Amino acid sequence: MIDCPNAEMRDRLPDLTNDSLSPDLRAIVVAHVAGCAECAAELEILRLARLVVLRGTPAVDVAAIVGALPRGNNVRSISTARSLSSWRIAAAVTVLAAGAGSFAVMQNRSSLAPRDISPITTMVTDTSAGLAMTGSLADLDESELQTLMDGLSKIDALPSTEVDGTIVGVSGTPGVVLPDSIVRDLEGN
Amino acid sequence: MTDPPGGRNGGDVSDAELIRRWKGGDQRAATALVERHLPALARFAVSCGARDEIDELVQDTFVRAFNSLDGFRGESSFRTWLLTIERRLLLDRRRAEKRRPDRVEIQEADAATQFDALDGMVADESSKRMAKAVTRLSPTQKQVFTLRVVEGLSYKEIAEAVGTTEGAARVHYHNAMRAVKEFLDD
Repeated sequence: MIDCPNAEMRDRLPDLTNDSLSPDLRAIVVAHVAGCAECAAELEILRLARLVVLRGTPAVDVAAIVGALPRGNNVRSISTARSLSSWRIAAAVTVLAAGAGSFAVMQNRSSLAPRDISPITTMVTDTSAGLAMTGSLADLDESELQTLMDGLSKIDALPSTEVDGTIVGVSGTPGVVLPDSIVRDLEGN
Repeated sequence: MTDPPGGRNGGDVSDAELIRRWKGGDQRAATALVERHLPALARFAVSCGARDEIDELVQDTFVRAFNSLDGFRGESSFRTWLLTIERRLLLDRRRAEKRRPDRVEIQEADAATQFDALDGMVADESSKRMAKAVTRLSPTQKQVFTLRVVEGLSYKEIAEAVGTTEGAARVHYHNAMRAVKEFLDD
């Protein structure tokens, strides 16, 4: 079977079969097919192929599929959840890093005196709270970070950079200043 | 975002509007979307050789899509996006099956099974020969041919759905067309 040399017209034949051409373009293609035996033959092949595929496709139960779908107003999409989780962890690391930086600055200010850290030190080594901060932030695994984030997610706003919180002594690292609100969350209050 | 013609349900309502309504809690919008796009997904599944698992594959596609609608940015049509999801799910299934040696023999018989099933559904001789011609195409040619001829997708949309380039999709289509013509001429 010989192909029509007009590639553009041949490319339009499936669109003619699917009735997706604009009226003007349809008229042009139809006029071409009327005078082109090759395109007329190809059009017949396309129509038969379409019919065969349509008839040969088994039916699928719509109701069963709809029944398996989530409800629109109850969907918490996977991508959104992961995105929020990633942002939360990033925010937590930023807050803690800023706190560590603040403490480093404070060490040069002799007028500043840390508050009593013994209760907090005890708290952060207490694994029953779900967070064992026995090392640096880099040592925290994903579940520990997530626990920290769960606590941070309850606060309404990021803490200010002023030192008005409690200095947390973490063994092996400089103390990190955490706002009282975060400390209360970590303590489970 | 271009939409296909409206189905029985949903009428002239666009996919974007149906998605918005579904997010607002209107489950009838989900039914309209499924009814509108299910036939195309079913046909594509068959063209990919997944006739025996069509129910599960199509359902998984819709469930995955509806759980990920926040990730649908509307840069392509909703149908193209669904087809892309379906193809990726099928690839995942095939990879999982390859790790199970006991399934190898079943897969080798798939080509004949697909032809027999399609052949059994057509009555006249010309339709039978056409069914055989389509079945003999390579997997990619079959997918491209079906998407172009039956679904009316553009080469750009086909490229996105099957994971290739627009130029390659065009070549695959014309090669498929040539193969079909040669078989019918024999």
